Parts: sequence; C-alpha cells; structure tokens
Amino acid sequence: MTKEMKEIKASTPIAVVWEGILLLPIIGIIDSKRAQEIMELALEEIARREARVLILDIMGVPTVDTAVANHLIKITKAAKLMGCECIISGIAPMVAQSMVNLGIDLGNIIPCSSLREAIACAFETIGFEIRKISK
Amino acid sequence: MPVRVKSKQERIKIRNNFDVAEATLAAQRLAELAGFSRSQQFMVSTAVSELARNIFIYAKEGEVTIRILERDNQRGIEVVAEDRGPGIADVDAALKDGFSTSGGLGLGLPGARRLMDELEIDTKLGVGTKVTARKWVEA
Repeated sequence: MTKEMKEIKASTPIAVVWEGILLLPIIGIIDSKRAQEIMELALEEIARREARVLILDIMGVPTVDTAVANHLIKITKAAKLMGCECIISGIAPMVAQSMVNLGIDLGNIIPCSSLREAIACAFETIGFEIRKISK
Repeated sequence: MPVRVKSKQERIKIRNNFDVAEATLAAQRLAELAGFSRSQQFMVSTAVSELARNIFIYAKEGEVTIRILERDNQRGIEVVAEDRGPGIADVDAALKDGFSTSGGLGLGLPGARRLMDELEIDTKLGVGTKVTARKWVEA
C-alpha cells in the first residue's frame, strides 16, 4: 500500500454498522484520484466483510457536481456487481435541487435524506427491523 | 436595458481541483452578497463548479471571474470561465444532455445552463473557450 493510499484510508474510515452493513462517510473534495482510491477501499472491504449493503454518506461533500456524481455512480455500480446494494445518505435539500437541475440520475442507488433513515433501510435490506423494546 | 457591474468581483486561476473548490466557494459567497436565496446560491456555485472543472479537465488551466451585476433594481451574478485550451468542436452537441468527450456524464454544460438563466459559449478550435453565464435574483 502506498503512502497516499494509507492517508486516504485514514481519512476515509469504513465502519461496520452490523454484519453485512458498511458505512462509508465521505468528507471533503472528491477528485478522480481520490474517488478511485475510495472505490478500491470500499470494494476491498465489501469483499472482505461479505457486505450486502454499503451506505455512502455524503453530508461532508461541499458540492455535488456531475463529476462527483459520476464517481459515486461508478462506486455503486461496482459494488452492485459484487452483490452489494448502495444507499446514499446526507443529500442536503439544496444539493438535491441542484442535482435535479443538473439532470443527474442516480439510477439504482437508494437515496435517504438522513443517516438514521439509511441505517433503517440497510437493516431492512438484510432482513432486520429496528423496533422499540416494550418494557 | 443597462447592465452595470458592481465593484465586487473575484478572479480565480484554475490549475487543480482545489482551485475548482475555491471558485465554487467564491461563487457562493458572491451569490449570497447579491441576495440569492440559499438554494439559488447553491445552484450558482454548482454551475461554477461545472465550468471550473471543465477548464481543468479540457484545458488544464484557465480563469474564472465572478461578479455581481445590477440592472433596474435587480441584482444578478455573472460567471466568466475562460481558457486557452483546445476549444469545443461542436457547441450544439456539447450543450446536449449525455454528450461527453471525456467519459463524463455529459451533463456539465447543459446542467450549468439549467442552473443559470443565461449561458453563452464563445469558442475557437485551437484558441480557447469563453463561457459566460448569468443568473438574476428573482424580483
């Protein structure tokens, strides 16, 4: 692993939410090089953990233009080929409006406005449900 | 209708992805100053992100100038993205959804046009490209 890969790995932590569910928060500027590295890390983790759902949280990405969207779509397509569904969370209302105007189609990606909703949706995908325990 | 240029303007050299991000932030700042709503500020900054990134992708370097305009009590913002790159061979195609010569989504220029009110392209092969986009604050 190169020094840069290590830095990316440090700045792009992948958390295991539950068996089969991975959470990848993306923070900061995504350029093609970083997107490629995020993709490699994500796919590696998906294979290693046999993940069935990957949650990409983009709340920390300041601008989602077509280049950024294209990178996200590529990551999710590759994940899908490995049998892993992708959920995108953290799309702010203003970002959503701009994306619509740009004409970006997220295709098969399941969008969720909040991380809470994304986690609930991920559990549902692997056959779990979150409910309050009665005391 | 006379269009006046307000004194406020920013010029950002585009050479890498960080410059693209800086232009995006400057656009949002000026759009806020011009009186755009939060969501409209975002549309302006996203459009600037597209135009600045195009400079970086196709021409390697160039310049983005953002200024506040004024006409008849109405304020607006103007973005000029200029480069001395290869130029655009087919402007009509470049403005169509899904057309890209760089393997992108092909939504950058048409998307930027939808995000702004006006968008003009002045380009010459082998000389360069100048994209001028304007958006007005709704009265």
